[in-house]
Amino acid sequence: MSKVLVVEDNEMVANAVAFKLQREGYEVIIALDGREAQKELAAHQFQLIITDIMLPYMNGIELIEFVKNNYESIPIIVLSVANQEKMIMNAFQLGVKDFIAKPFNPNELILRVKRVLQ
Amino acid sequence: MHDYKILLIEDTKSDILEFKTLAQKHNWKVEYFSNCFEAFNFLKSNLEDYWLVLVSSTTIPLNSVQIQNYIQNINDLQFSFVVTYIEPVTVEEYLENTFFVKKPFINAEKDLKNIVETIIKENNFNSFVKSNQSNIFNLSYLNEVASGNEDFIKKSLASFKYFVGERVQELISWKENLTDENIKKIKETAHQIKPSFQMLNNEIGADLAQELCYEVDANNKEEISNYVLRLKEQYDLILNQLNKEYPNL
Repeated sequence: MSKVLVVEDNEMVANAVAFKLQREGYEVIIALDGREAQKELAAHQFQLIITDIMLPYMNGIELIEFVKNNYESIPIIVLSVANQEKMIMNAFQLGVKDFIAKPFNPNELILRVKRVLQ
Repeated sequence: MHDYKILLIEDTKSDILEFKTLAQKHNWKVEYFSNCFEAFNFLKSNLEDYWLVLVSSTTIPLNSVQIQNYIQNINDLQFSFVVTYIEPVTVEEYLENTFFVKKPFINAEKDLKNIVETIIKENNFNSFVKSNQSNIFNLSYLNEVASGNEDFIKKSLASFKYFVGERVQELISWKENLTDENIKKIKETAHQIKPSFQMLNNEIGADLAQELCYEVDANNKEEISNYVLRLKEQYDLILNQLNKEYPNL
């Protein structure tokens, strides 16, 4: 089953995403900031990354650039509040596969994840 | 006996937010419109109720006189009319049977309560229609995610209590010393905790967090302090309710 890295600094949101994905059978690891995400990326093989944009230490855009440079094949979904248009555009220019607005619709999250992993 | 309800026509976001805070406190059920034409259509299809209609004196495209005129011509509509204003109103002479309330709403609580009580007495209403559920928070979103898993809901509520609680305390401490660094942290934290309020369906907390981000962008230190305090108040309201309903979190 696919392993998903969830990078989100709000633990309530992170736990909700993880709970929903685990119920669908995905293995989920949570990183609360960009640096933690880098460590997890070095330690595991992920099939998908779901990341927030505004993160402590290393923002989501920097993380996406890092992933594109070092783990190019891992698809990325951005999970962010909807009023970050400029950042979200940047993320798409960097090659993210999808954008999900917070608070996420639980069923939509699963559909989007399945679509990206197909 | 008709039901007696409130309708607010207001296009200033901060005023709407303040009114929501009052409505939450008094458990008033309110319909909000920023566009008067949408409000007219709504009233036309809700003629069975008695409406306390509050209209901002600065609404566009119709002003408060034109709105009152229009509403008076909706057949069978029963209503009382309140004009809300910041600057002294210059249309008083044109408006009959109208109450006036000076904004900001947060300072007009007593006036609004008096108007409500006057109308209730004059019309022999029992009281305003109260909201069906606590306005503080509800679990509809978490229930949707949880699909029946009670542990997940409790874990999420505990996360709100402690995780958001710690962040709110940080906001309060940074507010005491609004350096550039602390202002930046305030925005990051407001942005960080906003979804937690949304997950509890507490619109006011989410809106306050968003407004706080805007005030940081505008570098408006007075308003930053004000919004931090109001966000803390909102968190405390939720916390009190959580402690009552879930004492073992």
